[in-house]
Amino acid sequence: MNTHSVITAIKTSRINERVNHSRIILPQFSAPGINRQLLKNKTGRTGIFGPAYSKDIPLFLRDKKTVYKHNRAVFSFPFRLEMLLSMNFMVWIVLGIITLLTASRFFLPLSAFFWLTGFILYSGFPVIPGHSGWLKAGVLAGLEIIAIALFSAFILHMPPFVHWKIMLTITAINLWLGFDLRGIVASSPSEAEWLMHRAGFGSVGHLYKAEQYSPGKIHQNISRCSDCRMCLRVCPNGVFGIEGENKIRIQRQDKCFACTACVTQCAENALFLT
Amino acid sequence: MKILENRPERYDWGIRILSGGQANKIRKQIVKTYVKQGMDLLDLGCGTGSLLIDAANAGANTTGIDTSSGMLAVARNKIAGAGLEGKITLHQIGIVELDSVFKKNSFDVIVSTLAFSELYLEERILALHQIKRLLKPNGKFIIASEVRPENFLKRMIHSLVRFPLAVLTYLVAQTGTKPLKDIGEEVSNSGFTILSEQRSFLDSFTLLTAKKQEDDARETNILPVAGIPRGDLSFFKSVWDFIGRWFPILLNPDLGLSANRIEIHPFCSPVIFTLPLGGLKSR
Repeated sequence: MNTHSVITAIKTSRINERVNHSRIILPQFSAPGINRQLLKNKTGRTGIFGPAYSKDIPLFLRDKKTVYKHNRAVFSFPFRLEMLLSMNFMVWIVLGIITLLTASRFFLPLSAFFWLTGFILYSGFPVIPGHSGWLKAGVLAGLEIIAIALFSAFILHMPPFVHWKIMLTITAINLWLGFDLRGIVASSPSEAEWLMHRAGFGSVGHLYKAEQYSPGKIHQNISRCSDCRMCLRVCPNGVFGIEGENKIRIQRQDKCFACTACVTQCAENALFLT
Repeated sequence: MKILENRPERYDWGIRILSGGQANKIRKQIVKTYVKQGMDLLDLGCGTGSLLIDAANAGANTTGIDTSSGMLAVARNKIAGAGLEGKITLHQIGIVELDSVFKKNSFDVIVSTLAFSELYLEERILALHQIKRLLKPNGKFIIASEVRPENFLKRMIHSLVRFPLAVLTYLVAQTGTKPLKDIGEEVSNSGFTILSEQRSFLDSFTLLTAKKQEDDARETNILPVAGIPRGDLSFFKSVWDFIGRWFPILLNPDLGLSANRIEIHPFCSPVIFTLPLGGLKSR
């Protein structure tokens, strides 16, 4: 979403002719892309950043201050399951068709495994060790390999790594499911990208072009800050906090992932990434 | 190309694949047929500026608009590379903001290639009215867009052919296109006379030329009708949208607000929340 889509919505809905005030609530996560001054110039409406999720709008309408508690990005369990399905469904279809055509007896067991390990990875994401999707997938693959080795050795009384082909397949599927080439957000690049750099891949034709991935962390120019709380309001990850009576300061710089919401919205240009 | 605004450099390449190399040919055809020396031309959704450059080379005074700063940046580079800096004007605005920038009757040709399908219904209607205002009395309005073939068989064959191309384009350039359904009707209902319509690729692509009707006392004040969103999309539609990697937007019926979606299309429409006179339902 950017300012122009909001301007368009205001114009097509003719809302200016339908209500007699000049405020408009904007979704929390649109903050990096909205120029409130432009919005005001073009439509006369003052943008106010509301809660992150629309279910909290009634609460916000009753008490504006609740926005400070409802402005975080939350990846709840049902949401993660939705992500699992929607991000991997097409992949499964394509790989499934290929499997059906080449080795159809593997289609059902591979599909069952694909979704089972995907389920474990996505639902267990907060607790699986590793700071990127790829690492977590690797950890999960490792655990599954150990489980198979133990199963081979103690239940089947066979050499532990006799099923090495299965172990390789498992690793491949897990690493695919956890693969996040771009990292999740700008300031959390994944090992996959680092690996490609090390291997000398700056780009792969038109398919992938490595970008400069050091957007840095957030810094505050305190002399410019007017303690207006806009940054506190729009940060989706709780980087800012209140110190003393009402001073707004960066408290968790480590949590910043450079979404640029605060930089974009600060009226005093007191925030910058470096 | 909503998905693609973050990859504007690959846009040209992606569209070349998806249109089978036709997009460029069609732009050149438009310029060759309709653009004459000294004409004032406006390109809506000019993207990377391909058509603007061709039109400027044909001697027109060209202006382009687009909402994407990424696209306009690529356009500026291409324009500079073609040595046309200063000859082509670019504005970063949406189509519905035209009336705030341009005066009426200022263009001989207004063209939009592969951009109209990015607009939702009310945006298109509002856009058509603004386009009519900006066109000079004998000016021409040209749309080149993907459309939905009316014939069922053609539609099926077309989707089969198009599917692998669309997948490839999406993988590589993170872009896609959406066909329009009744653009001819929308254009003529907005006070235009259609001069010609050329269909190609199994009727899935249209090149439509229109001029505004002269007897135009009809300044209809079109206030869009807000639709009540249907809370439950049909099951198949939900599944289809879901596996297309979009998250269904489920409106919580317990909000106690009435939610009015402005357009029927479920995924791009703005939603107005209105409070009932008695206040909010308590949670």
